[in-house]
Amino acid sequence: MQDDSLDRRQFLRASGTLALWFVTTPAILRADDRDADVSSGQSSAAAYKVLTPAQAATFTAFASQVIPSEPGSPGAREANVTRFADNGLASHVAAQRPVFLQALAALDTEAARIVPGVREFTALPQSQQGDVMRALDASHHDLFETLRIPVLAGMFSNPSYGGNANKAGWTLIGFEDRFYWSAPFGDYDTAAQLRRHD
Amino acid sequence: MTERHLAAPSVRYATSDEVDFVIVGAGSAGGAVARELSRAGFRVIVLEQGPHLHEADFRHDEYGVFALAALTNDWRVSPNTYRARDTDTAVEKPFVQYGRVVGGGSVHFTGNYWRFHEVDFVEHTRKGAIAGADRDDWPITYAELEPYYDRAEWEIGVSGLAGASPFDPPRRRGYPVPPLPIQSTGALAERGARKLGWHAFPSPMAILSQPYKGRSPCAHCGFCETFGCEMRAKSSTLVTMIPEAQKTGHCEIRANSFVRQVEVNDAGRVTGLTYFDAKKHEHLQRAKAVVLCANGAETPRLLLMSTSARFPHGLANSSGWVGTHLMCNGGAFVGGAFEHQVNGYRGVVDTRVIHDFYELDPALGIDGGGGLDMRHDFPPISFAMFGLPPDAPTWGLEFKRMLRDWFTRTAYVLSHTTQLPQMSNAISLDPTVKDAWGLPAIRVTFREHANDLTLYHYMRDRAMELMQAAGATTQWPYPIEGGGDPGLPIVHLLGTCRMGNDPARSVVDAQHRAHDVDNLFIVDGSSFVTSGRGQPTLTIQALAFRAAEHMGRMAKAGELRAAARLRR
Repeated sequence: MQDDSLDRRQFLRASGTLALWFVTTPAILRADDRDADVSSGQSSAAAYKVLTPAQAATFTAFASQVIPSEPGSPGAREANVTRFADNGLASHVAAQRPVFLQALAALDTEAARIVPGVREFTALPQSQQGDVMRALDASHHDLFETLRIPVLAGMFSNPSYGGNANKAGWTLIGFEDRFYWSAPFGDYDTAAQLRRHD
Repeated sequence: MTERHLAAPSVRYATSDEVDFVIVGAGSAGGAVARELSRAGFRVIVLEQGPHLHEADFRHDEYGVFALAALTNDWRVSPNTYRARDTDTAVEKPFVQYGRVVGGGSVHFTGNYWRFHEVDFVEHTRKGAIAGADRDDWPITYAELEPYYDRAEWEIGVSGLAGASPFDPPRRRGYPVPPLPIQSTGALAERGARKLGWHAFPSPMAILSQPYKGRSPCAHCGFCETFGCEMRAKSSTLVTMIPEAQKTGHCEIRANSFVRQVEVNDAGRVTGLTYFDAKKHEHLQRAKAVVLCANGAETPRLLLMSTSARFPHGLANSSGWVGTHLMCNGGAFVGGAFEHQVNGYRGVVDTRVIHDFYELDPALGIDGGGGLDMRHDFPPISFAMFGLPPDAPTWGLEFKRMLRDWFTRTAYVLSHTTQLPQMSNAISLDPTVKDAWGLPAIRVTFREHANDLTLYHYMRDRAMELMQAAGATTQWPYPIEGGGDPGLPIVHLLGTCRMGNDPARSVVDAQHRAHDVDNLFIVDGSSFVTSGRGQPTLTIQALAFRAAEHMGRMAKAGELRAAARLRR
């Protein structure tokens, strides 16, 4: 956005749902409301405001497929993206609850279709969850994105919204939130350094 | 974000006071006009849709500025509709984006602040007519605007290095402060340009590299584009023109005020504005003259909503050109990954620009031109969504690995280009969709000219060359769609109330006075005749300084009190 966000406009052609959580779902939410509504101190065990335990488990399983947990490298689960999503659904993206829940249900439907006898996405082993992810992305891309976008937003947003717990997302990618940087900013921005790389 | 009020209250006018000027919009243009007119002794009110925030309200909060529309128009209360052709029915879709705070877009913009070149004002004469486009020369030349470019740069504080670009137009003096320190993206652009025989020069930026007029320099925190500056280093009108206007004691900034109609009397003269306050209570502010600086979407919308027996098709619209010829600049985007740390998230978005393709070889048969810069404008969430190549995985271990390994090693080349003015590309009033005030939503009709799409592809090829020459280990182009719908909201809102000498082909004259109404002025992106090559804000502000001078002169000469008449 912003003066030259034309750059973004050229390639942001993904589904309309991409925007639901990010670009096109503004709300009249003032900081004081937000602070009252969203506590970053909630533990992952505290009850959710909107999601049932089963829905939360389904979303967490989906999120773990998007950004998996590894030894020594937290994923979306540890970053509390489910808390972030629940906070959003309880406040500024409340209007998206129906489509969000529809997307969660579609995961179960797809799971049942792929693995007869199974009724829930969470009942599948990891590899078969991956098959369901691929199938849903192919058949209902909008619903897939309805779930994927809040995973990314929850992973990398300011922790005050309930996700990015312990700055797990920022640590993963090497982003440091600071108010001051000085040269050299990177490996290429002094003449000597540039020559070394030439 | 919380709204704080200045410790020293500025002047307050009653709605019944007939002030000299009421200005709609407190952005790059409105802030400059308010400052100039109030310093000249006029009584001025600025009505701004959004709140009056200050640096303490701004945060490093990517989610807040995007999802919560903290600094920009809120589509939930102010919906847009969109269609590609005027025979289609428009569907609801966020399409235009603008700053909706005191300071307007200058609060959250990137800060690129280079001047248009001489050719931009006379391209029609130099290059000739183009089928399907209504290109004209501007009614003013670069030379006429140059003193006001200079004014803008020195009044607000711009970083740059005069003479660094061999393509720059003539200028009377250098920049008030030197360029910002080069970053790795800029160094890579220099390396690539050198290999290709191109010329990378320090980006002129409305961000301070040194203390200036009591403000601190940039701390390189990296939160410029889409964010408000917590250091007051970004030279927005919020921290430059607006406080100087308030200090005169003649200027009231009235935030949270949403104007719905420009009022006219039976003689066809403007008498004031009707607006809603924050509680949606309606007020009529009287004024001797009105200045619209509400941006290229809201300015034409307000004119089209201001119908009367005398102006049944909207105010100042006898030409039928109000809202038409919308331009938003075009371009292309490529990404690249490098072996070592780029760390583009630190510091300002870009530090080097390339203008070798500002004008193209006529043998190419492509009209217009563009610039290139190497940059990194993806904070973490945006990077996860858009920063990787389009064919990269979007979930799973490999996705996670790429996020981890690439965030600090990627850079992007943005090409920013001309876009031709077409009558059918327009802002109009949606016949059915209403906003939260019950007023017609902004309807956008937009489809790119075939020439522009050819230009985008040409510039994308140059961007790929630059990325390769800079030493990227891998590079990728982002798609050029060209179906009209750009996917993301457009932010440069230009050309919809064109300035010109012919009242049949423009809305305002060369002094920004409406052809149809003596005491109505319009100056913002809507005044543009052509789109330049992107980065329009300095030109908007230079026009505003120039227009304010004319307004002040006319008011002092009594011309705004002239006997009521239609000038045509």
